[in-house]
Order: sequence, then C-alpha cells, then structure tokens
Amino acid sequence: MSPERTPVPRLTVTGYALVGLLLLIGLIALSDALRLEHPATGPLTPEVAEEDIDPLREEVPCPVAAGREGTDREQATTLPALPQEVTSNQLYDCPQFYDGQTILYTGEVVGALLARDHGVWSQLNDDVYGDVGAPLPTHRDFRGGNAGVGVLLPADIAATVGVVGGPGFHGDVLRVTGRFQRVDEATGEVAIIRVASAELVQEGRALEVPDSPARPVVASIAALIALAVTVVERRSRTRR
Amino acid sequence: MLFRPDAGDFRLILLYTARVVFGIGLAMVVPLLVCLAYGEVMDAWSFLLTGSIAVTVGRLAEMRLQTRRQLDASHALAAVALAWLTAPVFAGVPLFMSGHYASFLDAYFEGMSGFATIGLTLANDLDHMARGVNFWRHFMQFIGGQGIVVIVLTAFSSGAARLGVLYTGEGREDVILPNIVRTARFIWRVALIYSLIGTGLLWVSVVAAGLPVLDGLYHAGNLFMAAFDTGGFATQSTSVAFYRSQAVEVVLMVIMTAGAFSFALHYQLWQGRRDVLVRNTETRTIAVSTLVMLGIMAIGLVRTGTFDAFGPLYRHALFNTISAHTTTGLGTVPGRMFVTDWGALAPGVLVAAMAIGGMAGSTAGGIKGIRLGLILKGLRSDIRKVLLPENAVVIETYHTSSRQILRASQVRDAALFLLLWLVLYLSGALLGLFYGYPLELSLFESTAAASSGGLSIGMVRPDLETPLKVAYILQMVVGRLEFISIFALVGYVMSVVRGKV
Amino acid sequence: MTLAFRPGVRDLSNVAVLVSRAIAVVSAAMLVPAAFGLALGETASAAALVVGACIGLSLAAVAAMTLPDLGEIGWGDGMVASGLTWLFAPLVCAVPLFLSGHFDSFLDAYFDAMSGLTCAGLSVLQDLDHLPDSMNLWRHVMHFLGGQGIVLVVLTFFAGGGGAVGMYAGEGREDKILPNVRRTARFIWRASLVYFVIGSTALTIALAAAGMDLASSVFHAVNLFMAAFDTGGFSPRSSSIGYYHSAPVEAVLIVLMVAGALSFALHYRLWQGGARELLRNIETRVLAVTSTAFLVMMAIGLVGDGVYTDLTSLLRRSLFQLVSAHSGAGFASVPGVLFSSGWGLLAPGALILAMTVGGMSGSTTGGIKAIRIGLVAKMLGVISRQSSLPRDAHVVTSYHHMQRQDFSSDAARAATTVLLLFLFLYFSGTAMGLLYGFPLEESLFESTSAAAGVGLSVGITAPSMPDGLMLTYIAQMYLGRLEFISALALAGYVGAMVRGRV
Repeated sequence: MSPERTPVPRLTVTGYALVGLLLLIGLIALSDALRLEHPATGPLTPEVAEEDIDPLREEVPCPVAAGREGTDREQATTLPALPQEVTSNQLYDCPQFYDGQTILYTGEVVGALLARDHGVWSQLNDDVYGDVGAPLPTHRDFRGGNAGVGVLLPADIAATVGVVGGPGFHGDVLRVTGRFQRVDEATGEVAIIRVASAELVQEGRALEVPDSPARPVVASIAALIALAVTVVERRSRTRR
Repeated sequence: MLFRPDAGDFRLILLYTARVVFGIGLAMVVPLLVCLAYGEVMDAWSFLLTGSIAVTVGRLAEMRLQTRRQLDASHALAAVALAWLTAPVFAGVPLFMSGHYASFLDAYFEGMSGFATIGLTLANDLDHMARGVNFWRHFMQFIGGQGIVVIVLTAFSSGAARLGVLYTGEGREDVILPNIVRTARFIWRVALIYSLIGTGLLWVSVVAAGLPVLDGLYHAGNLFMAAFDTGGFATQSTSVAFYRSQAVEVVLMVIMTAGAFSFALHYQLWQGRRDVLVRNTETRTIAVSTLVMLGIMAIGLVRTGTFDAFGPLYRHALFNTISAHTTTGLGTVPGRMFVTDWGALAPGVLVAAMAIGGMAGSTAGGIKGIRLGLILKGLRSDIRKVLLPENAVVIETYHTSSRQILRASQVRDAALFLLLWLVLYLSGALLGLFYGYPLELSLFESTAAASSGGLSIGMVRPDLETPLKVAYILQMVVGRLEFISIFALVGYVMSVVRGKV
Repeated sequence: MTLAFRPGVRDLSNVAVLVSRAIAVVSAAMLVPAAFGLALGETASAAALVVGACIGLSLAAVAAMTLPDLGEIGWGDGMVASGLTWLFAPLVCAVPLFLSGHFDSFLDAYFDAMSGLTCAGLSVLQDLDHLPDSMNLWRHVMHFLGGQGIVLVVLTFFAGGGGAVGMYAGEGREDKILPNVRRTARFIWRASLVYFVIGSTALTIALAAAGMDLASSVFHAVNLFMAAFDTGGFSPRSSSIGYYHSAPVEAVLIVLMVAGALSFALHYRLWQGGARELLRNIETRVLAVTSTAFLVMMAIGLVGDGVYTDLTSLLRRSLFQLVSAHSGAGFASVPGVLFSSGWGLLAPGALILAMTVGGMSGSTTGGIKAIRIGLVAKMLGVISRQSSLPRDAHVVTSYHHMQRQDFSSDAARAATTVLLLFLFLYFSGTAMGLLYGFPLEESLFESTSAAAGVGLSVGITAPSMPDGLMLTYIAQMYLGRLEFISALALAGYVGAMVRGRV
C-alpha cells in the first residue's frame, strides 16, 4: 500500500452514502409524483371474487388426473352434453380433462391476426384487462399478468374482427365455441382452441389514457439542466 | 487485515458507476425515438426526463470525481457491482411511469431482469403495453448483455485465452483499460452484424407467419435482442407461442445458440478457425449436456404421454431445452402447463439445463460449460492418479483457443464456483419453500432467476411476495456478476466498517 | 491417453485375495446369529444362515487355495479391492436373507444386504414384525460389520495414503490415528466393544423401563445399539422407534447416534482425555452450526404449519428426527408418510439438508461430511477476502482438526470435488425417482436418504418399487458409502483392462 493513503473518516462515508441513497429515493419519489393521473378508484373495483384455491400452492383437483411419468393418461369419460363455459386458468389447470372437449370461452382479441393456410391464429385474453374492458394504463387497478388462450379462427370469423387489442387499443371481445386441444395434432401447437363459431360481445375501441400534465414540464426542465451541465463540463474539460 | 479505502478509491468507483449511468441515459434516446414514432407522447416525456437526469448525473460526476488514482481490478469489480445495482433504478423510472407496474420495486425488478438478461417479468397487462416502453424492456437486455460480455472479457479475465476460467488468483490483471476499448469495439461490431442478419431473418419469418410488415420489424427487432442476448423478454405475454410458427422458432434457436457462444469463440470463428468448434472443451461439454438433457426430457415427456406424435414432441422439447440451456427463457408452452401437463422429469431437466447454462464470456448465465468441463477433466485425472504408481506424472489437457495444461488451481476454482452457484440456486428455492410454494415451483423460479434462465413456471407474477421479489433481484445480480464483483463490493463496505488505517 | 496402466496378474490376484478375505470375515460373522437361532430353536432361520456362511467360507477357501499369497499392495489395489468387496459381500450376505422367505426376489435381498452393510437402513423386507429373531439379529450385525469395516477402510486407505488418495479424506495423513492398519483396527474394535457394553446396558434399562420384559429388552437393545452406533437405521420392528413410545429410549438413542457420528480420530482423542479438541475441532463446529440451523428451520416449518402445538412434542419429534437424519442413522419416531404429507415443506426440507451434510469423516455416517463443508466454507471466506484485496496480498488461514493445520487449497479442492459428486449423486437419483412418476419432494428425499446412507423413507422404498429404482438406490448406497473414489478407481481399473493398453 502506498504510504500517502489517507482513509476517509467513517462518518463522511456514511454521510455521502446517505446523500446518495436520498438522491435515488428522490428520483423514485419524482417518478411516483409524475405517474399518469388516474382516478383513485379503478374501474375494476369492487373486488373480483377471489378463487378458493391458490393453484400455485395447492393441487387443483381435476376430474381427470394430469399425466405423470409411467402411467397411462386417463381420458374424460363423462362429457357434459352442452359446451362448458371455461376460463383460461381452468384450461391450464386441467388440460387433460378439457382435451378434445368443446367449450365456451370469452376473451379479447390481442396481438395480431396471423393469417395462414389452415386458418387465422390469434390470442383471446380473458384476464380482467380484456374481459372487463379496462386495459392498462387507463387505471391503477393492477391485477397481474395476462391470461389467455391461443385460438385458431376460421378465416370468415377472423374477417369480422374489427379491432385487435394491443398498445392503445382494447380489442373486440369474442365469445367463441370450439374444441380445446392440449396438443394440436395438425399444427403441433400446445393448448389452443380450434374455434367453430364466435359472437361479438363487445366492440373494440381506442383507449383513453389519462396523462400527467406535470411530466412534460419537469422533463423539459431536466433536459435543459442536462444540456447546461454537459456544456459546462465540456468547457471545463477543454480548459484543462 | 483490511485497509480502509481512501477518497481516491471512492472517487474511482463512483466515477465509473456514474459513467454507466450516463451511458444508460444516452441509450434512452433510442426508446424515446420509438415512442415518438408510435405517437406515445407521455412515455416519450418519461424517457426524456430519465435520460436527462442520468446524463446530468454522469456529467456532474465527470466534473467532480476526477482523480489521479489508477483503476485496479478491485475498483473495477466494485464499480461493476455498484453500477449493476444503480442502473435498474434509472431504467425502472420510465417503466414505472408507464402505468404497468404496481410498485417501483416491480419496475426495479424488471430493470434488473432486463439488464441481467434474465427474462422474468412483473409487468401487468403486457399485451397492452406501449410499444416504446416494451422496446425499452428489450433494449435493456441488449445493453446489459453486451455490457456483461465486455466486462467478463476484460475486467474478469486477462485476455481471451484464459477466458472466464479464473476470476481470482493469477487470472487478474491490474491494468485493464487498454483491453476494454479493443474488446468492446470487437463485441459491438459483431453484435451489430449479427443484429442485422438476425433481425432480417426474424423479420422475414414473422412476416411469413402473418404479421404486417412494419409490425414485423418491431417484433423481429425485439425478439432478436431477447434471443441473441439470451434475455427472454417477449413483446407478448405468450412469448414465442404467439407467432404459432415453426420457422420463427428455428431462427430463434439459431440466434439463441449464437448468443450462448462465448465471444472468444466468435472471434476465432470470424478468423476462420472452424476446427475450434469441435475441439473446444466448452463447446463439447455444452453439446454433450444439451444432448443428454434433450434425451432425458424426451424420455420424460414420452413417459407422461404429453405428446403423442414425434413432431410436436421434438419441436417443443428442442426449443425449450435450448431456450433453457442458453438461459434465454423464451417459451413455446404456457408456463402453467409445465406443472399440469409435463410431469416432473421434463421440468426438472429444464431446471438442470438452466443451472448449467451457456459458455463463459457470452451473455448466457448459469454455471457455464467450461467449469463443468474442467471439473470433469479434473476428476478424470484424479482417478488416474489413484490407479497409477505414485511417481507417475498425470497431465490432463483442455482446449479453449489452444490446447492447454489443466492446473489443479483451475479445477479448484471451477468446482468452487459451481458450488457457489448451487448454493445460490438452493437458497432462493428455500425461501420459496418458506412462503409455501412447492419445491418444483420454487426451485424452478429460483434457478430461472439466478442463472438468468428466465423461463417461468408461473410463480413470478406481480403479486409475488415482496421478500421473494427482493431475493430474486439479489439472485439475478449475484448470478449475473458471478459473485466476484459482489464480493468486491461487500469487501469495500466491510473495509469501511471494520478496516484499519 | 490411457486412464491407467494395465493391471498385471500380480495386481489381480492381490485384489482377489483381499476381497476373499473380507468375504470370509463376513461369512464367519453369520455363524453368530446362526448360533443364536439354534439357541432359540429357530432352525429354519439358523439353517439359512449356515448355508450362507458355508457358501461364503467355501468361496474364500477356494480362493485361498488357488491364489498365490498376498504380494505388495499398492494404493490402487487397495482401492479396487474395497470397491469390489462392497459389491460382493452383500451378495453373500443376501443369501440367508433371501432364504428366510421374507423377500420377493434375490434383488430385494441384495438391496437389504447392501443397505445393511453400507449402514443405510432402507429396507424392502416384507412383514418385518414376523421375522425370526436370529434373522433380525443378522440384519443388525450387517450394520456393525459394514460400519466398523468402512471406518477401517477410510482411516487406512482414504486418509493414510499418499497422493490423490489421501486428499480425498479432505486433508491428509494426520488422520491416520495410529501408525498402521492393525493397530487402528484394534483400537476401533476395542472402542466399539466398550461403547457396545455401555450403550446396550443403557438401552436395556430404558427399554425395560418402557415396559418390555428383560429378555426382549436385551435383544432389542443389542440390535438398536448396532443400528444406532453404526448409524445404520434398521430396527427390529416395522414402526422403527415409534414402536417403543418412549422418550428415554429416544434420548439414549440420540446420544448413541451422536457418538456414532463422531469420527474415530476424535474418539481416540477423547479417550486420551483431550476434551478441548471437541470445542476446537472444525468438524464439531460445522456440525454444531448446521444442526442448529436445521433444527430452527424445522421448528419454523412445523410451528408454521401447526403440526405440533406444544413445545415438548415439537422438541422431542424434531430433535430426534434431526439427529437421526444428520447422523445418517435413519430411525423414525413418526411414520415416514408424514414427511411427505403431514409435515409441510420446510421440515422435510431441513431433514433433506441434514441428510445431505451427514456427520464426520472417519465415522460410519454417510453424506458429504462436515470436514468438507468446513473446508469449502473456509475456501469461500478466503476467496471473498482476497477479491477485495490487492493482487499481491495473500490470505492465510488455518483450522483445527486434531491439530492446528494450515489451510491448503489442495485439500479444499478435493473436498469440493467430492461434495459436488455427492450432489450429483443426490440429483441423479432424484431424476430416476421422477422418471418412475414419484413427486419431486419424495424423490429427492428418498434419493438423498439412499445416497447419504441415512435410511429415512417417505414410502418410495417398498417391496413393490420398480426394479430400476431399486438398482438406482443400490448404486447410490454403494457410491455414497465408498465416497466415489474406490468405485471410480474400480471403474478405471476395469476400463484399463478392457482397453488393454499399457
């Protein structure tokens, strides 16, 4: 070690560390202050009913057991006469049970319509954002990630879709009848619905995102400061 | 005996950290432009705001923190660690302000997951996220991925030959600056060329899959960054399954594999030395391990009867194995189906593949092929030592860029790092158990976070318990920096607290 | 590159002589339970044991007649011989077990014999509660033979040798507690006998106090002693220690299991009055830390899930199970099914971790061993300190194991390698469990239990288990017991012979 080392007093280090931390917290507070100005209560309140079982922590009881190594797969023997109304979570929780069954499913068309020879692929989301018709960032009522199922639409049904959901748009909500395929033999896709018929439940629309009036102002000031600091720094460097 | 750092040490560490922040600020120009292109004004302002603050911080540091002290390895390591902890704060600001994250911690998680090329996401309603913000998520992976390669190739090891084998002991070189510039230049040049080719191929394949041409470019660019930097974010909540296209998957597999190659190997390939692909110990290890994983996974899936036909079995097993082994984390199957339809062995294989990871000196995470290879070679030489007479000399060799003699200290370091990785994986899993998640889930997600694998079995979601979020963030950064930088940072903190003059 | 020199005729005959001697010892030992059976009038069972003894002894006799005398033994020969012994001895030991009619197939009997000799304690025996006493005694005698045998092997071959062999014990020659094999062996047997007398007496008293008549008390005490002190885990009744419903019995067993988990080197030091060694030894320290941590983890899990509400039963159950798992004994005071269904997640997790770690090297316990954990932890400390120091700074550290020793990175490397091999063994067994459709938690538990020679079971190990899984567990018990090096040496030896290169 070089002899001219003079360690910084602990108090000073702590002081600087605190200042640094405070600055970071200030940054976070600033970003919190400049969030989009949503109303205090979201459109999704009151609470959506909670599920009884936590599927992540407990085993979801399925009428037909999931496949395990070394056992033959059971097939659902008693199929309901009428198509059952299901959610995507139910499909994923018990894929073996719903495999090959005709089901009723409602969701928002999101992403894109991918036209191929054998039909049109899309995605129907039945999470609260799609179903209730309140995608983010129009509100602050966070309800987790997306949930949905891939669907293969016949070309004529796909042609009736007006709005595809995505950034800035809430897509058409379709109520489809079709066959759930755990593994689709023809295409090799996993967990999809081959749609037979569909009805439009709710038309898609452009979203009205509330804005944050202060953000442009603060951002402009910050940009000016950054510019000024950059110029000053450059000057001081050339002078050196 | 610890020495307390002096002002010069602090200045250096903070200066380099601030330079990274400055770089992040500059990089925000790109998503800013994307926002403007798509007319997302509010998000454009948030990028301008954050970028400006970051630039201000960087320039102020440049003015105030100059010092005559030489940068040595411990400074560099501590600065890397500090930068990796600070950068996600800045990256998280525009994410948080986009209105898709419930808390700033979630945005910070996302920032860390992006820079560390993990791929776990806490975004609410990703399918409606503004394009500029979504682009920023992917762009973070590009910055972080290429950044870590520069760091590994320069700060952690002395030159391409020793690449990432030894981070300690003789592998450290104290003067690292001259190397950085040259290495960085090569890496960025390679990355740009791969970007052009890869994005082009992806563009063609997603347009063939049915996307409109302009949307296709957007998707292809993002996908490329997620795949080449073995990140694993995707523009849609359904990841790669969204495209319903085998062509897209094939292109992605090639790109992911290229991403998991070490840049030293890329360098040799560019120089036309194709034989290294076959002779390199690391490529061999990874190739064997991938085949073994694929085999076990196929056996598992056949025994659970998940797939009836060979086509789908091969397609999904291969894609997910490669995605896990390269620690990318793109998926073709909804994560929940791993639990409810894939039995236990196949997800287990994914965990193992993520745990092993790609090559040292690439953007891939995990234990790394070279360590595994060296340990196996070391074991072989041990057995020979037992069987041979005591005066016999046992020499084992391995091949990176040339044939080299295996030294005991290398095996020791490799084994030790492997052990550290396992501890990292298991400690996260233990915390998951503590919160009542079954072992499969907590082990899967913990490995995904620590190895930068990023495949998710469903546990990582916005309403994950806060301590688990924090634990995963720590796992991500510790895993990404392969412990040593974090040790250095902790060492600095300790020396302030306990050190003598 | 050849893996090794091609072994010559001399080497092969040396190995064969060593193996046949071990088999002779094991077979002769069968005569003890046989005599016991005759005394009790269990003629069928005694006959089975005599048949087994005859087969083994005649094999050994043939070997003695045909093979030349033992020549000079190299380390490689010794390793290979102990690798082979642990494969062949269970074959002979399994003969009387199979003849007893309590096993479905010879493979099942071999499983139990391997489990007995390796001190694992897993069992696929059917209807244990109606097994003749003499056969029951034989099961426990196998623990004693295997346990004392492995200690001898470890202390002489693994620890005493030069070169790579010695490194595998973690550190080196100092572990050779007495200058040569014979004296080492003599000390081990003397110590065991003394412990045997004390332990069995204490157990007899505890059992008699629990309401058993004197004769059965003695029988149970002897069996339990062998199972506890050699950290085996068989027990005379199918419900294991739960059968006795007695806290004093459990307390005595805890002491015995702890004694069994201490290394013989440490026992030697204690006998010489060096009690301070107990406090300073790196292994005791590691074990103190790990067992406290796992006990806390278990308590949190059990309390959190509301399994036990009062402190006494919580402490009694968790302490006994933890010691049983940590020492590799594998007694259960609660039904094993509870681990997978009634104890939540954290408590079985703590048991698995405890099994993984195991006891001290140079004892009969299985698992990774405390010395390795200690060395690796030291190593981590060194590396993390070094990374924040300048390049030329050199961190020196030391630890206490019998005497103050400088930390050498060679020892740490060997420890790390073996530790990793153990982890690999645990995980590969788990994968096999998954392959046969068992859930992850249960597969991991059972695989760890087999590889670390513990013997706690969540119910996968049963006569009806798939043969593939049974073979896996046999292989795990074998590899875990020999701490890989003998088995790997054996594989290398065979490889060299097959490839036939010099």
